[in-house]
This record gives sequence, structure tokens and C-alpha cells, in this order.
Amino acid sequence: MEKGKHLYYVVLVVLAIVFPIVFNVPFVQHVAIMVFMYGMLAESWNVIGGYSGLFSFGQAAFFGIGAYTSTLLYMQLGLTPWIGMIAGGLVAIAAGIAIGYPCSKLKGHYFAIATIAFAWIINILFTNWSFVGAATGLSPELAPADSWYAFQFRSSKLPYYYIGLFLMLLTVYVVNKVIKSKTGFYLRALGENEEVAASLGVNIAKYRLISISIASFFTAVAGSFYAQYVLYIDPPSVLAHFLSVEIVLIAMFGGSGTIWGPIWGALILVPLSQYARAIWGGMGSGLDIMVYGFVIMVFSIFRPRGVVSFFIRK
Amino acid sequence: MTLLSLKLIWGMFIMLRVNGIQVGYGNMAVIRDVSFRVDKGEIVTIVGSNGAGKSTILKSIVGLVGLKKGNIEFMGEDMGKYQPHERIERGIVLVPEGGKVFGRLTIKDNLYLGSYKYRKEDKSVIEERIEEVMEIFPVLKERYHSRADTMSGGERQMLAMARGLMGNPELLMLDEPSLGLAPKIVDKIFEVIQVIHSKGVPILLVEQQIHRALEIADRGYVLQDGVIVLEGSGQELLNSELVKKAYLGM
Repeated sequence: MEKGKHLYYVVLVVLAIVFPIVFNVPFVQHVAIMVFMYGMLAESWNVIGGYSGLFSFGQAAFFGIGAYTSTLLYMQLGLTPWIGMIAGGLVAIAAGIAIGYPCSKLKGHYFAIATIAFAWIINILFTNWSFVGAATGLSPELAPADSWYAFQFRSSKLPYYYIGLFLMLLTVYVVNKVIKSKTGFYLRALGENEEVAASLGVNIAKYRLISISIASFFTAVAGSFYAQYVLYIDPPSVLAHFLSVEIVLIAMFGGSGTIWGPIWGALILVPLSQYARAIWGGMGSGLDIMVYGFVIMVFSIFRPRGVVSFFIRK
Repeated sequence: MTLLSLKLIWGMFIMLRVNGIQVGYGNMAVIRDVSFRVDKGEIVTIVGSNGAGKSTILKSIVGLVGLKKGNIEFMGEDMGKYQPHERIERGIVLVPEGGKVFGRLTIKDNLYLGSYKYRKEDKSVIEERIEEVMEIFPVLKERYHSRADTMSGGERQMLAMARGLMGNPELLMLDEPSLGLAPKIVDKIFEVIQVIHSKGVPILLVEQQIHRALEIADRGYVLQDGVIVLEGSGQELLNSELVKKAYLGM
């Protein structure tokens, strides 16, 4: 059984590897890259929202922190964005702890509101802070040719595709490891019933911070990846409130509290969003967003536990 | 004799001492100037009607609710400086009301969660403890690998109590263990409480089933609107006019 399961994953990974070679169309590859990025973001959110029961609606703040940290380190110090990516993750952990510690006693809606407020504060701060480009944003100097050091590839989307795929699989692997560990066991208890977990002696504040740190780190890494992919960042693109909402939507749509649910969510919703925008986005009528919203609404009514509920027998 | 040694001797007999606590939410006081104690080897019960503040007292002892006034001593030590998980490390265990279990987890996992304070110990220590606990609750053995949300209300209550015992409590606090259960199951629950007590675990029992609670209690306190209005041995309280009139409908 276990062997069959592993084989199934190997086949899926091989398919993902050959996909961009078979479908060598830039737009298709772009959509796939976005699937990986959003898959990574939704999986990161899954640790806090899906397993630990902390509904964060402020993940855009960590995404932006990652994007700005690696871009600034590259622009100011010439540091490779690969290191910048790790640095961004660490800064996001520090920011996550800074917001998570004072909010360690907030529950449910109150925690969600605090995260929204935090993301707004970061957005306003960056919009008005000239060192980080304020409202104009940042655009790193373009490398003369494709460069691994500068993390810039303009001749093909393939490097971004494989890096994105690797980062998403790495996130899934780490989250899976954490959730199956003793720490994950306590995180799940926290998500089920925080008060009962506390009455058993589970250190709520500690596990909340662990959960927030994991999610913040990978969200920021995705932010750095995005910054290198588009090579231009500003507050509306990396700190937008809608981004936070999208992350939650994708995770919930796929099935939060399961390892593969958020990835399923990204696999379905991201192409839907991208294609709807490509087909109807130019009409100026908002039809693409209406279609996107309608699908989510209908699906949520009939499958409230997400896409994974098709595969889970109860 | 120093103050410290006096405290240590005091702690040898008195497990828990609650001194004039006031607990509230916002400006509203739910508990006012409540004092009581639990001695070693005792079953002490706090009885009162719904909304009297019984559960709030237990939550404040374990640190889930903050105190506005007063203090709580456990085995001679002031608990004010400790977080909930630190209080539980010291041996206070609360079994919350309504048989609250982790529904999506198995019975086995629920029991493992109860042994949080032994998380750094060898697995065999925890498994040994599970065996001991399941001797008291044989029903859990039969359904060891089932999800907790497939259990009946009575079984969930048993699981919640078993999970509490996994922490090897110095003091076990039970919050309305009979809540919402059929009379036959309630009988069983009260039997189990006495079995646990016979193993030397002091129990602080909060109940609305006043007659049942006072029958098994060494001492009891009657709580009305956040204030203790009467105290005495279980038998004394059962015979008191106030309890007969207000709670037993006699």
C-alpha cells in the first residue's frame, strides 16, 4: 500500500517535470508557475489556518516582507537573492513572532482581525517609506544575461518553473514532516480545541509561535521567488489585502487541514483565475472575477470540506 | 522555624488553597471573595445552580482565567506566577465540562495528548500509563483506534477523564462530569470517580447533580451567584435546610 502510494507520487512528479517540455507555451508555463507559488502559499497558511486553528488574513504582509528583503539585499548589497530568500524568511519569522506574541491570547475572529490590521500597517508603512521605494516600488537592475547568481532568467520560463516546483514540493514535504511529528500532534490539538489543549498542559503560546513561524517563513520565500520572477515589486502587487484572501480561499477550496488540499486548491483555482482574466479580463466588466467567485461559491455550498473530500472516505 | 519550612509542612496536608479570589470579565465580577481548600486524599465538591460560577473557579485555578483579587496556592506554592502549562506540570489537571475530546483524533491520540507533561519520556512510560488508565476505563480498550467523535456522550466523558488521568494528577478537577448524560451512565461516572479517589487522587468536583456529588464528597461548598454561601461535610450539606430547599426540592 505504502509502496503504491510512493509510486503514485513519483509518477506525479515525473509528469510535472515533463509538463513544460510537452506544453512549451509561455502562458501555460506562467500559469503553472503561479500554481506552484500559490500552492506554496496555501500550504504555508494550512499550518496555521488548517491545522492550528489560527485564521490569518494577513499573509500578504509576510509575502511582501520576503519580496522586499531579497530585492533590497540584492539592490543595496549585491547579495544573491538565493540568500536574500532565506533572509526574507528569517525576517518574516521575526515579524511573525512580533505580531504573534502580543496576539497569543486572541482567538477566532479577534486573531483574524489582528492579522488583517497587521497586514494593513505593513502595507501603509511600505507605501510611505522612501527607502523601500514607497508607492513607486522597487525594480532590481537587470542582469545582462540569464544568471543563477542574480536569480534572473529572461530567455525562458523553464528555470522559474522548476524552481517553483521544487519550492512547492519542499513546502509540502516540510509541512508533512512537521504535522506528522510530535509538534504537529500538538498543533492539531490546538486547532481542534485550544482550551482543552491548554487544560492538558500544552504550551499554547509556544506552539502558536512555532506554527506562525513556519507559515511566515515559507510565505516569505514565495514572496522572494515572486519578486525574482516579475522583477518589479510595489505594495499593491506584494502587500495587497486581496492576496491574503486568495491564499485562504485556495487552501479552503482545496481542503484545509489536509496535506494535499491546498495544492488541489491551487491546481484548480489558479488556472481558473488566470484563464478567466485572459479571456474576460480585458472587457473591463469584472466578468472574470464574477466567474471566479461564482465557482468558489457554488463549490463551497456543495463541498464545504474542499476538493479533497472527493478522495476521503468517512 | 522559617516561613519556607512552615509552608512546606502546610503543603504536606493541604493540596489546594484558594484565598479570597475575585474573577470577572470586564467590570462584571463572576466570582467574589471565594475561599476554600482541598486536603490530601479528599473529594471536595462545589455545588450550585447553572451560572453560579463553578466552572470559572476551576478555570482560574488552572490559569485559563485571570484573577482580579486573591491568590491560589497549590502544595504550598503560589500559582500566580505560573502559566497554565506550568500549573499542569505541577500536577493540577482539569477535565473540562461536556466530555470535550479531540473528535478528529483517535482514542489513543487523545490519551497521548493527556500525557503531554511526559512528552520527553520514553514511549514505554506513556504506554505503561495508558495500560493503567485503561484498567479503570475498559471501554476505551475496545475502541482504542477509533476516532473519538464516533463515541457516545458517556464514552466521551470517560475518555476525557482517562485523558486527565494520563497526566498523573496530584489534584484532579472534574467539571460537571455528569452533564447531559443518562442516569445509568451518571451512575457509572460516579462509580469511576470513587475508583479514581480510592487510588489516592484528591478530587475537586464541580456538579449540578447536587445530591450525587454531596453523597460521595468529604466536604462541600455551596456557590450562589459567585459567592460561597455554605460549607460543611457532604452529609451536613445534604441535611442543611438551604440545600434541601433550594436544590433538592424538599
